[in-house]
Amino acid sequence: MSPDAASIDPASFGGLTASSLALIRGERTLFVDLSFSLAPGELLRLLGPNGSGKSSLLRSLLGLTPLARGQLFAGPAKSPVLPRELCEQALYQGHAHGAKGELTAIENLTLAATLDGSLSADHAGQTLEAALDEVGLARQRHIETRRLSQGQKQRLNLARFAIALRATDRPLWLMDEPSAALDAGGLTVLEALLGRHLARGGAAIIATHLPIAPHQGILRDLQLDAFAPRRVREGLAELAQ
Amino acid sequence: MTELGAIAWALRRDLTLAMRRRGDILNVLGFFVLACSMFPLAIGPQREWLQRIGPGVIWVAALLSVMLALPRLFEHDHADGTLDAMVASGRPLWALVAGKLIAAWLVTALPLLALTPALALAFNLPTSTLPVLVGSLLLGTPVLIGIGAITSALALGLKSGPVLMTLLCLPLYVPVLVFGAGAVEAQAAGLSPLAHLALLGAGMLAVLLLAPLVAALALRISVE
Amino acid sequence: MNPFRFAAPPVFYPLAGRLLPWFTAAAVLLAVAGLYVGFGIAPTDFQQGEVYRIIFIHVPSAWMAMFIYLVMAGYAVLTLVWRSKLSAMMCRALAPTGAIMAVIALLTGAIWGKPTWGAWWVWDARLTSTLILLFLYLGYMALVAAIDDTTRADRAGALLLLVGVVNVPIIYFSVRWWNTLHQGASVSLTASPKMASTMLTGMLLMSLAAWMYAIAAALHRVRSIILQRERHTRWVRQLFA
Repeated sequence: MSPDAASIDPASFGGLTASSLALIRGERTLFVDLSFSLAPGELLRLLGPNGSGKSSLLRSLLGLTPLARGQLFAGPAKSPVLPRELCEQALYQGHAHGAKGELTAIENLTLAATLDGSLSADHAGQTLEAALDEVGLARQRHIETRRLSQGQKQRLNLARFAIALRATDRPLWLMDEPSAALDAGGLTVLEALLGRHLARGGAAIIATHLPIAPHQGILRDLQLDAFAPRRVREGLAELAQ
Repeated sequence: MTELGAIAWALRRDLTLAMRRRGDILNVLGFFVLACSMFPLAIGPQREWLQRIGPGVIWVAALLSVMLALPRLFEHDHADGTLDAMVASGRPLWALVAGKLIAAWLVTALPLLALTPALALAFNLPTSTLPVLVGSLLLGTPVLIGIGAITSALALGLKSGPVLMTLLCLPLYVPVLVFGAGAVEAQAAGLSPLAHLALLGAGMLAVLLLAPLVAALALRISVE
Repeated sequence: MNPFRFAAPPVFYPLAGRLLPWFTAAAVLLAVAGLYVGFGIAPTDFQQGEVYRIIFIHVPSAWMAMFIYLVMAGYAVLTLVWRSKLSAMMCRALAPTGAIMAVIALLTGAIWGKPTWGAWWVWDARLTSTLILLFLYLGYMALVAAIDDTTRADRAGALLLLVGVVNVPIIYFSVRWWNTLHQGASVSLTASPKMASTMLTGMLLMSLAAWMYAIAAALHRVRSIILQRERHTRWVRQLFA
């Protein structure tokens, strides 16, 4: 069954609600009583200083880091969704680049897209080439990833999302600092991919410093340090004085 | 992606990576041969002595060679973020780990097995013991890799890495060593090695079933 | 009365403090009684002379080394399944005592072996198994010390303990088999002299003393661990206000 871009159903994202999340790392409480909701077509930007828990929040949604308290609900369901169930619907890009240095760009992309399930057996070659072309790595596809620049490695990550646009399985995109090392051209590509994803009914949560603003979709912000434990906030206020 | 698909994905990936890093295989083989060579150099080349200690020395050297290769199992993936990607993918982690373990055995243990007959000759072992020696290693090396996977998953990313790994692994390796080297000794003494080999075989089955699951759990604990 | 109340560190800390003197007193009294019976009352063995009396320290310590490991494994299950912080702290508190018991068993085994069999160390089944048990303890302590994140350290240590405890019977079986194959039954410290009833009494008293000591040491140590882990909380600060 070949995926034809025109006939794909809109991404089947039912919505995500987080209720009173709390996270403790070692002996530090990062945030308490954090709640948000995410509907199809929305982009949630996680903002906050370093150490406020942006990466940890993303990881906790997927069950990589355990939540101390709180629950996650998928769509209208009354019972909480297990983080591992969310994994199957989510496409996650963490801090590290997630590519093997010894493999070429196209080999890494093949592996990642196969694991995601967004690559079908037929048309695979075309899909890969098209994605690399879209992110501007067409000429680097047979170069070992360790010889690419940081910006190029980041674009390789974007290629994975470009391929996922053609599949419907993972409508929730979770990205940790996707704009790191990207130049203006790369940023345009990122915003374009996000825009098309949101327009199809997908959703995304992004931890970022830069004001990433795709042209489509609804933009919402979540300030993480507003949910830090009270004495941390008071401590920060004291420092500011 | 089915479980089998996940195993195949991980297996193909790790084999490809191993082919790009051929030096690693040579390291393992080199250590194996060198470690075995230390003993005649230390004790003297008298044939009877070498024949007596041969099975034990080869077994210990194989065990240490496998153990040295284990940290590579997860460390690289942890460092470049691909381990996080695997855990976050929603695919059955035990299947991905199983694929990696199979690849590790093919890349680490199989070359050792291929070199074992040559080393057996160097230790003047009687040819009747050769099948038992290779057979015991064939059954025992998967167990070593399985147990080692669990301990290297627990010690993931720690700076004290290899030394800690040794301390964690070796007590658990003792039964494998006893039954493995014991099988060859039994054969050399004219007794039946079947009991030893049967126990090794049982261990291998247990490890095949449990190691991927336990190692996957250990990985989840370590990436928290 | 809800027993789980005591699993909370602020409640367990004072409770442990109240129990500590009782267990210490019990340990001292039982040890005095046991040593008196063992070194004062029990008759001289006609085969081994006075040296055999070391059995009153060797056997209880070997038993305790094994028993403590089993208790730690029990706490490990609680740590992994219920994420119980106190269980993890008890594991850490018990480990050094277990290791010390193993060391005492090995040293007394050597002291017994020299005059009896002419060698400081004989590779008999129980001594070798105790040596491997000591390495299991040291491995646990090293792993837990090497991991900075306390939650990860607790859970990794717990998993290691469970893997270890499953292997202990296998290790013991394999070492015994190895020992009988190579040395025969002649050299064995497990071939203890025929037990007069006073000897049994002495061993029992010393075993109970070791048990009381282990509990007292663990309670004392866990109090320090609780204080260290909870040093930022209000109840600890009030203790030292």
